[in-house]
Amino acid sequence: MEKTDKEILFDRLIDENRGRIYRICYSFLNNREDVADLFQEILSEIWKSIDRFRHGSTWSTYIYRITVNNAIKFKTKAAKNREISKESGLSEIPYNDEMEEVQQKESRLNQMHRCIQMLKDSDRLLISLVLEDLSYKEIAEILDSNANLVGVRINRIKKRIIKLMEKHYGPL
Amino acid sequence: MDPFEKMKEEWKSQKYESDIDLESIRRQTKNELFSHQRKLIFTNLFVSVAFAVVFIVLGWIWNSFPDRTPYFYVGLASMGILLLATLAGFWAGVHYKKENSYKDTNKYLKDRIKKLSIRKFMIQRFVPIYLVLLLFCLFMYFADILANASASYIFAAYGGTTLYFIIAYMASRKMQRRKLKEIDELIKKLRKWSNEYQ
Repeated sequence: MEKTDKEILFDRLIDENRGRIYRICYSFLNNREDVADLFQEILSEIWKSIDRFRHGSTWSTYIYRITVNNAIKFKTKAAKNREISKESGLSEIPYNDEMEEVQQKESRLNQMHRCIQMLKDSDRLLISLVLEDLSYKEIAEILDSNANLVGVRINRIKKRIIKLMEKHYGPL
Repeated sequence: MDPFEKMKEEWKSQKYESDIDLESIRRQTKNELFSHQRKLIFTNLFVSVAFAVVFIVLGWIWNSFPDRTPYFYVGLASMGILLLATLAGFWAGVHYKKENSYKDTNKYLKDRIKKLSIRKFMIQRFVPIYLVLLLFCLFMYFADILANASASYIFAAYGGTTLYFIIAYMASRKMQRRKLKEIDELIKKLRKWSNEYQ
């Protein structure tokens, strides 16, 4: 069966943004089962929202907005129905200077995720947007907030995450 | 290198292929969306046909009894208006269920809080008012058809119907209370998110 224009656009958007969506979902929930559920909800909302895109922003901002809003929705809904699984999908890997480069990278990522998990929900979403390399202005646009206020808050979160990393896993 | 920039690099190097089967999620999402679309069309069609049948029946009753008292016509007309209100509520509900999650986060949160507040109002105020109005319609109808009935028969009809409505309402109170509690908790959480991102 031939794909419609909407399906082609949808597939392209998912191909271009799946990494971003996954990273935000994972740092927010940190559980594979929940991440897959949230990922599916986001795909579904992207499909429903494609026709409403008005070129007032870029597609990536549009996708980030849908991702952030659905992450919040998932969290509030999950809190209503059940507790989101506390079990982490990450294995305990201690910091070790002699590890191979790849293992070290993996280990560092796990450590970073562990520290992100120590932040409160709203900070976790913000820091994941910063790690995605979005500017304060772009983040403020996604949230409909003031860029200066967002900047002040993000600087605080950055300091906190670095402090957490150094406290738990040694100097960066 | 700035420690945070280093974190950014590591962040972007994350692999997801081994964690989730994206293709299967994408396929499943499409299947569910299309099946939901079919279900929605069928439900809308069914509700429209059901309401059309009820209106035809009301019209038929109206025409079949030309010489009744004004109570009869007031009762039937009120029932028709209530049905129209229900239909309008149904279509508004379909529209309102749209999530609009493409909006800015603060607008999205405000929208969700507003929707939940309306739902709360519907449960708290609209349902009891609707039941009282429906009871009024039935009383109008009874006033006509029971005009020549005995006092005990009239008492049984009015009393029995009122009792039925009270029991039905009381039985739904437990569920309503649970729903209201859920809505209040959700509103509280959403307000907290909204305050965080102001």
